[in-house]
Amino acid sequence: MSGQQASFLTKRVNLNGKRVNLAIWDTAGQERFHALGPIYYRESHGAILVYDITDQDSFLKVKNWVRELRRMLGDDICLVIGGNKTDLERERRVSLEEAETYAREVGALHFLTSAKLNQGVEELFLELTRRMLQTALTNDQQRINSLTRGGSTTARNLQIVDDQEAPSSGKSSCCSS
Amino acid sequence: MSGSSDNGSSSAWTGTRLHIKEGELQCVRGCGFYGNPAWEGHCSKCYKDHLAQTQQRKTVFHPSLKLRNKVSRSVSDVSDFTSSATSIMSRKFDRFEEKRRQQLDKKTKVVKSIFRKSQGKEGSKAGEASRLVRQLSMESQGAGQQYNEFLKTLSKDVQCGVSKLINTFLEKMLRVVEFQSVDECSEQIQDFYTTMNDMITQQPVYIGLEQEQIDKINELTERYITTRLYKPLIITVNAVCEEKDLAIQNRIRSLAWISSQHLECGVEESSQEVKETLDLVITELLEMDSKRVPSDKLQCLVSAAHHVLQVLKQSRSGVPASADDFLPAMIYCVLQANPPLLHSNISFITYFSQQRSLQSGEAGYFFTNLCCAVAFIEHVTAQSLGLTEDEYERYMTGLALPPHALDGDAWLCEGMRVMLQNLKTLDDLQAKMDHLVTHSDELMQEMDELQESVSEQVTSVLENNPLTIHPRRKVAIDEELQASSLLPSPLTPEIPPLSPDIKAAQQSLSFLQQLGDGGSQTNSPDLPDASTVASKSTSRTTSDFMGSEADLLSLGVDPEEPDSSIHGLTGLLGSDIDLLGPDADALEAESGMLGSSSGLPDLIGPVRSTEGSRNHNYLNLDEIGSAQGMFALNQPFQSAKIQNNTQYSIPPTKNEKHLSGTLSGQDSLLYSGFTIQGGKIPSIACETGNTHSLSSPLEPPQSCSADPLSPPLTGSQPALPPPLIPSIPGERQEASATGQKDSQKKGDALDKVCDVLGDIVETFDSLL
Repeated sequence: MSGQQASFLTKRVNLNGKRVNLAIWDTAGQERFHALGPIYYRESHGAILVYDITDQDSFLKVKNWVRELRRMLGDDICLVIGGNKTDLERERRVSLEEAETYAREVGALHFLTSAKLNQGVEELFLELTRRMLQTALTNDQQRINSLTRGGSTTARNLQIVDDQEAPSSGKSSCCSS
Repeated sequence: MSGSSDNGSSSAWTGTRLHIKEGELQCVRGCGFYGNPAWEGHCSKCYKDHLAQTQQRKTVFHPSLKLRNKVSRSVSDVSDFTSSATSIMSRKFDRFEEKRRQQLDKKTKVVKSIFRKSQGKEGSKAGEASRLVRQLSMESQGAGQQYNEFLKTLSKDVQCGVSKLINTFLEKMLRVVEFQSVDECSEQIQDFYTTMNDMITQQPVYIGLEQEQIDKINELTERYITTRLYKPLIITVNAVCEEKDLAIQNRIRSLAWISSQHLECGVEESSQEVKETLDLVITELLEMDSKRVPSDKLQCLVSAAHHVLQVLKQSRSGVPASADDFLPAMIYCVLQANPPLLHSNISFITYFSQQRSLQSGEAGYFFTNLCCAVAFIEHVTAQSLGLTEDEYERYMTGLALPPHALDGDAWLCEGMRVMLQNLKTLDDLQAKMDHLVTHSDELMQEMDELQESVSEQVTSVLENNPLTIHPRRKVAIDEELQASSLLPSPLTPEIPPLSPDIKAAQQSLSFLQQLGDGGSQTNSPDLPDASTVASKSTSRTTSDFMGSEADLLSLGVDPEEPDSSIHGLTGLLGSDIDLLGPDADALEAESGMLGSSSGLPDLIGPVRSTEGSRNHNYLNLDEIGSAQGMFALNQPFQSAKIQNNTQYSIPPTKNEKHLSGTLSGQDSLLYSGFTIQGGKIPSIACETGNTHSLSSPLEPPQSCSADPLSPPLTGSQPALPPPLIPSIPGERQEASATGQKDSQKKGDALDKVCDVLGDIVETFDSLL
């Protein structure tokens, strides 16, 4: 999972016999570009929101993002919250319990990762893909059932917006460097 | 019931019945979906199948021909449509005219838009005049050809299906595109993309297609359709986006003061390398507007984005850039480039490119970033730039410049940057030039040294090799040769008259010889030793020779009368001395020749010869005047000597001149030549002296017969000789002796000349 650039990656995944194209986009996380978020995440199927477990502030930003995404895209978007920098467990500021509780509340998955040690990243992406595929299939089925002209029954290309929160985390969560 | 309903459904399409049952609205194939009269009562899916079946039945013909036919037909269709629906036309025409006008305004902005404009004009003409058949543009032809060529690689069924679908769609679009809004056009085109994609991915006919082929078909479909419809589409888009285009352009212009520091994008503006890459980015962003096909525009954007990443790499020494860096850098680049018709291009891509390519892939990502950049630029605030409202206002109104604005040359205009770059290049060239000049100087110096050394070697060779002088001698020797050839005739007759002549003449001659020796010896101090030696040796030989001559002469002298002998002597003396005079000249000439030129003797020689003759005449007269002549002769010679001594102040200068004329260091050679040639000198002397020797025999009798006239002569002569004497009397005497010797030793001289000639020839040979 290494890309030539850290900001954009296309990955092909085979999941349960279905071929899925993951387009993983990094977004600018600075506060000044927050308003541009919708341009990135519109029509995306999933989002990974990463916070730094040693930084309480970054977790608050994740909460902001979740609120915005839910407001803009409703339940169609699959959310995954990633607690990064588990290699710095001793400096943890955000408790695991708090994070998991919050994730459950907003219908998101929670993963602990360490981009530095390349721990939990793969699992995070696989689980998200599974979720997105499921959502997509459900949506398609719903469309077919509602007698609107059915689209393709095969897996559509899935777009992921990886909103990497907390620039202080400094490491890309989507790529192991 | 059901049958009647079926019948009813079939007649329902005629529109005669007002009440339609639900069953009649359904697909004629009974698949459960609703049918549509436009699809011959089929639902969309069944209609596709139906179409495919009918297409299969049709014979396959060349797609490109087909396309041409369609085009011409579609144009006529358009005209039919416009003529029949004039009401719609007039309604839509106002809007169309407005678009045209807007397009006209833009014409000056971009060269490309001029091209479009002319196309638009053509199209509208075709539409209004309804008779003109519109020519396909080069781009359309190219795209169509590309499509056809690709389709040829596929099966005939695929060819047929795809081209039929496209042509049907194009036919429809060409008819309506100019009267639809952008959204309608976009919707139709996007629908068509989906239809096409669905068709080739799902229908059984196309199952054999690879994913790559499908992608290719999709891409070419987009290319062909957007190229064919480019004119009406871009007009529509431009019309919609015109205000936004101008707004963003002005906005970017007013934000020109924003630097990379404001955006915190980490672009090192001062680095030359970064600047060059930035230029590439800007070029690509500007290039985007000149492309017709959305995917081409996206391609420009992608390469621009790659250059942006390159800029970041260069600025941050190789750390891969994340979106946190890329977006600010992209914004910075857009601000720097200020691409024309930015909104139009973004809208065109959004409306008419395949949505799949915008939602995935790097093109989609970079396009999204571009959209973000534009959105940021449009909504930039003081806060987003980390400035206070006051600062922001001041910068925006141009009242102030950011503090770092004048750092480096980042804020210089393009011309200044180019100028600086050129100056740098010129400096480099200057350095190279200097290098070249020093090298050429060195080369020049080397060449000079080489020349010097060569000339040194040449001179040393010349110095070491006396033969180099021979050419000069040759001139003298040629004269000698001439003279020697002439010698025999004047000299041979002289000996017989001499032999009968008196011993006194010999005696006087020998006396003269002695005197001459003394004279030469006295005079010699001015000359180098060698010359004195030479003169001595010559005088010695002459005296020896004299002796032998005297013996010869003594035989016939006795019977002769003293008078006649005296006469003869005087004549002989006159002639001899006349001969000698020239000898002296010859000597002079010799030295002169050695010195500088052979012209000297010509000038001096004649004078000297006359001097000599007169001098000797004078001597003769003196001798004649005194009975014995010995003492008498002594007197004038002494006087001559005195005169010599007094007047010798001049000759040395001459000699010096001659000597100075000769090459230094060759003196010895000269003198050797001098001595060697001592024997050959007479040959010249004879030549010049001939006239005198001829005249003198005549004169002496006169002078003799006019003996009484001698006093007046002597009286007159003192006046004449003194001015003449200065010309080396001593030498003359010496020369007279040698000359006399030579005159009688002509055979030897000839031999010597021959020897010398031989030498010269040898030297010439060796030289050559």
